[in-house]
Amino acid sequence: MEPLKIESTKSTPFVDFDPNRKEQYINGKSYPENPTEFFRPIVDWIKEFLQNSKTEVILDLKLNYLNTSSTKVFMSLFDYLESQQKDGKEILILWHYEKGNEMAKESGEEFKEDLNLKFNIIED
Amino acid sequence: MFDEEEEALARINEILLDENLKSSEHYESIKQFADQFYKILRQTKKLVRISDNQQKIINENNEKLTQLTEDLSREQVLSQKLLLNILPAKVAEELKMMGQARPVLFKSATVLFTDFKGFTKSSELLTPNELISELDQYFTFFDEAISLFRLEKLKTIGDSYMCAGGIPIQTKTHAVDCTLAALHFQKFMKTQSESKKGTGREAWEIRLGIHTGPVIAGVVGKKKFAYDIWGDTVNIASRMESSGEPGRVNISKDTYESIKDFFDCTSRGQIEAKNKGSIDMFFVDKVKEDLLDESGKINDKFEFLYNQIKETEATETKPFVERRKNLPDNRDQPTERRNNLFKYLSI
Repeated sequence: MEPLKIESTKSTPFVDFDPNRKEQYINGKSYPENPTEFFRPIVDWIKEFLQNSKTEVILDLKLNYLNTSSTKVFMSLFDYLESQQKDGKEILILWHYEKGNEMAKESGEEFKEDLNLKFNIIED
Repeated sequence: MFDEEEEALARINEILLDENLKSSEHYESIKQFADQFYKILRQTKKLVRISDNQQKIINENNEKLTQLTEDLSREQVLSQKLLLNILPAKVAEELKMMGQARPVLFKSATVLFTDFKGFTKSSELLTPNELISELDQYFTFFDEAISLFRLEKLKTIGDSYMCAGGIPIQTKTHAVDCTLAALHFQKFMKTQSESKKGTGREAWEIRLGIHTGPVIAGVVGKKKFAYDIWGDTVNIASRMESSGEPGRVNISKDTYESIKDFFDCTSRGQIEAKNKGSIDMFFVDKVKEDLLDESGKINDKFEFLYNQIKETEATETKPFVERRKNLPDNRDQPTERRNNLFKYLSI
């Protein structure tokens, strides 16, 4: 399995996925013009990573801004991770936000609310 | 209307609990579909909530931004006002655009110096607060007055006030403007002096000196910007003040040549000025009789002559005597380009 590294742009976050470690990083703002095109390889990579008998993943997220489409993608991703946890995988979400960024903080709290996942909200 | 999702979810639950459906061969696929539908509904509700929250925060941030923009504009107006209080508008603009305001040679400008007689004596009799308050009263009047005469304040040095005409925007009327301002100052001092009579307070008198000639004007240095002028013209103007007399406006021959058609002057002959040798000096007595109306105010004829010089600011100056020949016969005839200043100016 190959690592996945995507440099950030004005509207897309930096992605740093490596199959040789459990921590996977997404960092930046997310309002891509074509969310499906941008997120498909990311979601596919995580699915493949977990299917390759990896039992533990730490998804380290620092997303300063998510537009509605990106929010929808992360909701689906978290639902998927929740289902994987039921299947015995160990999932941990680290949701970072910068001090003062109420929008990122509140989005994290909303995500966490209905999820049955370890979801830590961290002020940087 | 507001609980469509809840109603749909309740309906799905009802269908799934239906015993008849449970026995159906399609039950599992219906249940899967219902679960998926339930998930989509849940996501939609959450998405709307997150979007609403984001919008709320964006709106709050916009309000803060609007407030900050307003504060910034207010600060900009204040700093612009402050800058224009320190530097002439033209120079401030050049400084902002270019990062510097290079000194410019003005072939002809007029410099006015004032100095108070009695200041030193008053400084012994009055408290520092009283002294500064009195000085402030005079300088505030001068500050307000010079803008009427198109003059630029340069600085105060102790009890001395220095201003000039013809800079930083070149004018042709600067000598007349400075003389009018000097007489205006003098009149104010007399009024103040009369109001002090019987109060036991010492009246201040003013010496005024004017000279016309070339100056270099600009801003030097990097800190505490100040618009200033340099050249022998400044020194001679200062000598005109120091060689004058209290209550009189003392001018050089160069200034006299520029204003003699407007003002009656008395030649003082050649007078020794420190480091300058003997210089021709004149006292300005008053505005010429035929340039005043019955109430002693400047009349249309003065204004007509003045405007004729002013009009040449963008063109070559004709000999003044020729222009005087073209005066209207009726001196009371209103001039089209009436200068507001002259409507109330009484020197």
